[in-house]
Amino acid sequence: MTNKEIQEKVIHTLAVIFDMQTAKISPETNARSLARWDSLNQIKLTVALEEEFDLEFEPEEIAAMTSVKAIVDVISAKMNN
Amino acid sequence: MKELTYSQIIAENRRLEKLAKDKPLRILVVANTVVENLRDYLEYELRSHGMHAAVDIAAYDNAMQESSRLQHDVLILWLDTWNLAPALHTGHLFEDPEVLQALEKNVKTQINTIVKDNEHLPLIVINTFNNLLDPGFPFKKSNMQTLAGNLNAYLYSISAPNVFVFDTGHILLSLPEKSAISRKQFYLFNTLYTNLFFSRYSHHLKFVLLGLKGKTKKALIMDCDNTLWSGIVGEDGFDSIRMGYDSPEGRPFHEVQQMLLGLARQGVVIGICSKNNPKDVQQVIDHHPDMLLGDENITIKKVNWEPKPHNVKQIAKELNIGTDSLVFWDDNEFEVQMMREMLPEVLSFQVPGKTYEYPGVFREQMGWFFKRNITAEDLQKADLYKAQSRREKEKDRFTDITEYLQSLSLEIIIEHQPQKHLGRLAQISQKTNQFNLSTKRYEVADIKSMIADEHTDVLPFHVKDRFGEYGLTGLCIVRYDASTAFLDTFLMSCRVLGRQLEQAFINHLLARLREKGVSRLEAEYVPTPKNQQVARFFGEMGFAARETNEGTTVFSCQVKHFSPASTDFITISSSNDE
Repeated sequence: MTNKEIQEKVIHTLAVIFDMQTAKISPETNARSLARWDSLNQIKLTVALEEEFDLEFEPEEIAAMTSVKAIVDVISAKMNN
Repeated sequence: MKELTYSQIIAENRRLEKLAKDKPLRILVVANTVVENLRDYLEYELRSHGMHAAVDIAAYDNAMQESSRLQHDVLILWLDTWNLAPALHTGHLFEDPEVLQALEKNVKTQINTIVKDNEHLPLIVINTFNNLLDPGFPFKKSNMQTLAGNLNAYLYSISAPNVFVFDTGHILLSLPEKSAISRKQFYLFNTLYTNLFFSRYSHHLKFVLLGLKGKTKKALIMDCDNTLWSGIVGEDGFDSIRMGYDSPEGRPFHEVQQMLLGLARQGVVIGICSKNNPKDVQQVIDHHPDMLLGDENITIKKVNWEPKPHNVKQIAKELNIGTDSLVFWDDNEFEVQMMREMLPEVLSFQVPGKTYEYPGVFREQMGWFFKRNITAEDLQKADLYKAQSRREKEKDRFTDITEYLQSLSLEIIIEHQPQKHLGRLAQISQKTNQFNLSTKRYEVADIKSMIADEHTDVLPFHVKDRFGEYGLTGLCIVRYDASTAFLDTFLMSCRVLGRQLEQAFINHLLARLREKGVSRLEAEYVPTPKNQQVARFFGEMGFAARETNEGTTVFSCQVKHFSPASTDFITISSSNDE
């Protein structure tokens, strides 16, 4: 999976969880700027991403996943290992 | 049916929400742990089965504050043992038995208060306590385990009729620990449960909630070969089919037949729909030593070579129930697919190819027949439906329907001691969909208070004819305000429709109102997807109609101007006369 493909899938998953249009989400979208990205939705998001990418995040990875770009980096690093 | 991923469930749930038209069942989850994802699973599970629901999650760990006099329909109390007190599972504080006992007492008082405060709710679901996180040792209980055990004993001692205890241990035992709970989530987010757990929880809870709205199933239609027994009677022969406990091939089928017997005893109608020679099947029913089901449990049989959807439709017609009240089992993929295509409202299941999986899979779906309280009437329902089936056959011989109805010696007996039938009255109020003018759903407590109210008459009635008793199958509730009477509820079970009994009862009611000096009767028709057949009922009897903006119609009639259509072939008496 290329980073671009990962990013598309991440944005799609975010759009579903946060009930937003994909066009409104960019790599820069982050938890601080988006009100809906609260701790409850963070649980939903990590569970959904684990399922979509068929992998398991470590606690420190989850803690780092606070923007689209950061999520893509974490997933890409895991998938290329 | 393939499993959806969590994102797909969220998306699908949003789509279903937009389609929903009826008023949602409002469910509040009060929890001392994070159960946010439950909302998606529970709403999806209900909405995908035709029941609109809206789940709210109350503020975290505020059980007492969030549970006082609720406006919801259902309260789910989800209390995890580990968070009953700060750091309970780490234990030190609770080594002192007095501290532990004080905590136990406090939690019981909280639960009791919540239950008392919400007596008006149709349903309160309370989860059992567990000792996850501190399971103790095989030879020594942990404090958490002792506490959970005592609290559970308390839960099961609650006698409030609206309280249901959900044994979460049932789910925990059916899943490997790692797929039911997540320690990672616990330490990160204060929630132990996985989405799979929430999905299983919603699956089981669905049956109780659907039951609340009368959406459970009524009849179970079974194929015969490789469904009631192993083998094909028409090919392998009478002696080669297996359904006995003592043969490995037969044992799963023995178990399924046992479950069928249990369901029949609860009043679920069991039917057979099989492509076979009727004689072959009848011989098995009559003479096979291992056949548990007999003619006394099998209400209806369609053994022929007709397409099964045709037979199943016929079964629904003869039993006078909707096809959406039916569950169908068959081992043949073709038959199951055809049923799903032609009659998608019939819930159709295929017997698993690995027959050792069959009893387990079958048991999972028994919840469709869940009943809140089993009444005496349910216990004799198989007989009632069988008499119904005989009556349908009898019909063939009359020239017209009036002649037939006259031949039945129909009787309505008004019950003068409604307080003796509270469970049954609440049940018919909750379950009757077709002939139900206002479709108001009442609980036992509602009925009780209406009986006690001097301005309200609660008039249940029994129906019988020369073939037998239909039981308590009708309910009329009338409220009085000065010289006007309001028909709050008028419903009749579908078993007794098509006999002009409704007309006879209204004639009787009007005569009764006249005696009481009531000058005017008002009645309201509230349309639902299922009660179309009564839309014109009052109009046909000459009541004046007035539409309201919510789609309901208010009918009214001057008592002295009412001219009844004759129903003199129906006798009306009251239970005191007997």
